Amino acid sequence: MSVYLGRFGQVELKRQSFDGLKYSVVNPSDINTSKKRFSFDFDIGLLHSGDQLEIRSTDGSILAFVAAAGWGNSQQQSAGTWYVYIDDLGGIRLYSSFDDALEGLSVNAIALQSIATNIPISVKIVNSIARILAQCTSFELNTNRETVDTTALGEEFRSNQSSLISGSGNLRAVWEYLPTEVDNNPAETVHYLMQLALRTEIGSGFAAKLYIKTAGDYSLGTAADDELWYEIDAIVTQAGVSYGADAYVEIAIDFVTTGPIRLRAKTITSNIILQENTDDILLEQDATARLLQEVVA
Amino acid sequence: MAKIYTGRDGSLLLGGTTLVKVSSWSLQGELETLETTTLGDDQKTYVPGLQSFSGSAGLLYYSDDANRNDASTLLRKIVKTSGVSASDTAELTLRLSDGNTNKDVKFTVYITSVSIGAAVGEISKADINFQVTGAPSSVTM
Repeated sequence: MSVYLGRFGQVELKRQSFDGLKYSVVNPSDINTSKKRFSFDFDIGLLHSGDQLEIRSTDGSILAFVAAAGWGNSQQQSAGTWYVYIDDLGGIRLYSSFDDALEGLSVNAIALQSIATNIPISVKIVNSIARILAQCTSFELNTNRETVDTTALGEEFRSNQSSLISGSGNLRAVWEYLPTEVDNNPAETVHYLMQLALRTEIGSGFAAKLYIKTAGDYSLGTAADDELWYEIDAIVTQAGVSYGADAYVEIAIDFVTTGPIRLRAKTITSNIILQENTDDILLEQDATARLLQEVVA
Repeated sequence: MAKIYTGRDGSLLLGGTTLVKVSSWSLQGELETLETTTLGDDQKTYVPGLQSFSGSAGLLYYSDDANRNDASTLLRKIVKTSGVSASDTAELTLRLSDGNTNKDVKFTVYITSVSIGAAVGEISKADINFQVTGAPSSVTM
């Protein structure tokens, strides 16, 4: 019997939106090739630096404002996926990596080129890489199974039928504004979830893995590297900030799940071959071959 | 012995067979009154006119292992490809029982309306309304 602490838990976050596309038009005057910056009409808060966007022309024309060097095969196409940096004025720079998009430097941005005509586009935030939520201090997930009463006349005990499953929860994290890393990998900051709560047009959805156990808990012996986590798609319903002069700034996010909730496990099998007698272990391809064991002192 | 009756004591029978998964039934009895008040009377007076009975029942849309579906049986009295004929009656018994004694009202009815639906997070339930034709054949309630 053991008591487990929260040392080996974490939250992985994946940016995505569930509520469809944003349609707009890129005008020739929207493009500043020297600053590698362009824009289209969108409400403040729709897009955030670090979002991975799929930009697609709705009339099938190529996205001529993105230079050929910005495409994987160096050929301009009608749809592409990039990370974006959004400046204070709503200008957009495109990047090929999340880190660069958070920094927003012109030197790393994908080159743009002028266009002669308007290009109608649709934009959506696509599935991207899951990143650990930085400085997360706690999370809570409640799963709820609804039941419907199927009691009939004459019965002495209530009977119920299983119905829909729903989930909700919250997570708390110490506020972080600047790009940060966890284990030398880019991490997501809780600031992004605060922004999500205020995003209007394409929803406040995100995907998350809530780890109850991550690898590396060597107190568990052979189960040290097992992993156990909830996998959810969720919508931010509330974001609160706790701000005081004598305490660290903490953010509390409430969410409800949408779609299935999965409790998943990854068990690591022990890399031990058990031979219960003194016979050789023969290889099938060559009857004379033996499996050798390297003994590590 | 004193007894308060509840839904645990209730049942609904169709042609003498107890229907399963009935969640409710109700019965309304009415008597028309014919006014016989005449000039000079201080109070209105009446004589009894015609009686009528109607009611409703709720059944879970439920198929048992033998594929018996009582809700469907009643639904098909009105949800059918041919017209409703005079023979499309049903013999219902509304029963409250204390285990030893049955308190019944038994009559022949026409199903006058049915309602069934499916909704997210809810069970499918058939609500039926019926109109009694003729007098009850048995009343022990």
